[in-house]
Amino acid sequence: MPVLNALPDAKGYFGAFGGSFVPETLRPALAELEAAYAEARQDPTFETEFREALTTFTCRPTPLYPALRLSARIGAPVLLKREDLNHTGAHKINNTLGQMLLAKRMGKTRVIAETGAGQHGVATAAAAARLGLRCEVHMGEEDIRRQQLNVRRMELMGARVIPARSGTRTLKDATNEAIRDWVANVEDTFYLIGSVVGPHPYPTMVRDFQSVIGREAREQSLAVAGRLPSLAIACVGGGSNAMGLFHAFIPDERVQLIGVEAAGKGLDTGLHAATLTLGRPGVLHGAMSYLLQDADGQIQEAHSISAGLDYPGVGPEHAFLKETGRVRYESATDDEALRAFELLSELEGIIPAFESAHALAWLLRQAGQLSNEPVLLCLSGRGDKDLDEYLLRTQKEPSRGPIGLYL
Amino acid sequence: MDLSAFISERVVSGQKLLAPYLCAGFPNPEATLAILEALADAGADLIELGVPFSDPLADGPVLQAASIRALRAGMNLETTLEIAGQFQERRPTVPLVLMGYVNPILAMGRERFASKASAAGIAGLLIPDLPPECEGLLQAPGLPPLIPFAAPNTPIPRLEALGERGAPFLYAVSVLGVTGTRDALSKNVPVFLARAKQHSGLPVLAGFGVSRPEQVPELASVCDGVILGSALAKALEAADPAKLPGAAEAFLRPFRKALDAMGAPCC
Ligand SMILES: Cc1ncc(COP(=O)(O)O)c(C=O)c1O
Repeated sequence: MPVLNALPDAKGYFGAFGGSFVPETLRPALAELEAAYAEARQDPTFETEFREALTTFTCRPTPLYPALRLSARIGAPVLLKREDLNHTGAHKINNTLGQMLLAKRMGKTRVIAETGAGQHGVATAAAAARLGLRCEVHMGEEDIRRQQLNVRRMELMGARVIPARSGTRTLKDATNEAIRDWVANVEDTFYLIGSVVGPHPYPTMVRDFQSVIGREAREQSLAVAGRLPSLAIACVGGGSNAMGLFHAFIPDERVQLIGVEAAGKGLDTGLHAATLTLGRPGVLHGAMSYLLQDADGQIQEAHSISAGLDYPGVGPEHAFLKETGRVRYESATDDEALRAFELLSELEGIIPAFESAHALAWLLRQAGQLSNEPVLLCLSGRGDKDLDEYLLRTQKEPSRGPIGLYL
Repeated sequence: MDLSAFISERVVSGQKLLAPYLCAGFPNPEATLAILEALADAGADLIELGVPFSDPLADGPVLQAASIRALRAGMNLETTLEIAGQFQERRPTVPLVLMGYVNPILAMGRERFASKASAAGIAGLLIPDLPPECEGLLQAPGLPPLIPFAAPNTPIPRLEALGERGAPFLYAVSVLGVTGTRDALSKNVPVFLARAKQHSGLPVLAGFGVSRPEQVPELASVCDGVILGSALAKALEAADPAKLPGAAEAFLRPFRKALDAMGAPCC
């Protein structure tokens, strides 16, 4: 087996996945970013600034919480990595703080981002406010309608939300619009991507900024349980909380790694976001990875109750980890995630994000079948943002129609 | 057709090239072949035939809409290549360059694509999201030559490197931004075109943003021709659906006239 955590190679490939499939206009910008990031990594002041932001602006280290009542239900000790306790409510802030410091260091005056549910947008707006940079967030018109609260939070923190009106008007299209914006304003603008996706060096850089999750969890597990977990579980949208958790454990071959995708209404319904489970390799948003696509190579619409998992692509390093077999990718449906959302709230007094509820849902399916060894689960975010949707879904009929059909 | 020879012949004789872009299937699949013929008859030297894609991230609103409309009408890469083959039989002297994003090509499979494209007589490929470094991904027997892009921010060493690889021409993206018409082109455009030509040593065609015949002389005087995309799509959108070929012809002729009026440079 190759040394899995030494990747990517110099051109940004994880095996056959990754790379930099972008229009020529973005080449100089990516080269500039790659050089700036490489330089920042070597600079102890950057490291100090980043660490300081992680401790004082968001509350790192986040706790590792032994969830006793959940453990009793599962039949194995469950350790929750509490990324939901981060400022702005999810792991996303780890990455936005890192990239925002880099943007400032590079002398960029304007930062743009894409957002689905608005979690990454809110984290970006917060980090931009903290560093005094101008921030504009592309968000699908459909998502703006569904996530009013996050739109207001972003605006309150001084960001401008730009509606993406193309295609399905969701995350995929917000990403297209952000890339188009970047192409047109590449000289003064920094594109702050929210997950381990996009062209090189983004998948690596975002993973590095998020890898604090796994480094902390590994140490905490040794301290709390006296050993490494037998299983480490995370939900996978673009894959940043999962990569952040997995990265430190990749050399620990005895730790089984599980990524949980959104199975939406069911894997056999065509309405899901299970990119690694059912997609095929292809190129979207600058990288070669797994994609939901039709026979003609047109990108298909993803479907999930969780806006943060509702994306037809996935980070290239996950595609690689799937092919090497180091990580197993599973899925959980909307209904299973809703039940997990309720159960964690009742058992532990913690309302999880719908995204994180997918990871929990998979674990709940293993109840009674696991050996009595510690299990680590990344609770990537808190669920306050999902309450409206939860209430809507648990009434007899959702009052909202199906999300606009693609094409 | 050997596109390099075709283009350099014109460049040497001082004739400026006119290269309209048409998204296959726009405004409807039935009209594509007839519009291509009309463009050829109105003086197109070569035509860029677009393959519609769900996520055309280098395109502005006009060509995005064209792409979506063509997809809704059922257009795909397979049918685009069939139409290309039919056109080449009817107008064998007007080369077709296929322009599209890489994923539909990968989905067809590189061997199948290369053999179908060469059978259809495709003379070159323009793939905005496939940098020359990644060409290996498509290499297969019969693959038409890939045409590189350059943008105003492309560094000079990069222009030189693109030139050294050799290609039928260089597609100069005149503006930082996506496709779409622009009322006024920046003063820097001619400077960029001249730089691209000088340092790549390749024939240069200017695209992105050209919309009116009056813009043509200034651009074409420092390069080898112009590419028209969004402006043609707008004209077709506005046209009577029963008279699309006529509309295409009426759109293109003034550009041909503007280019021809420039005359051959004095030797
Ligand atoms: C709480 C939470 N978890 C997970 C995700 C999915 O993203 P990723 O797979 O990059 O961690 C999101 C995205 O918005 C999120 O808000």
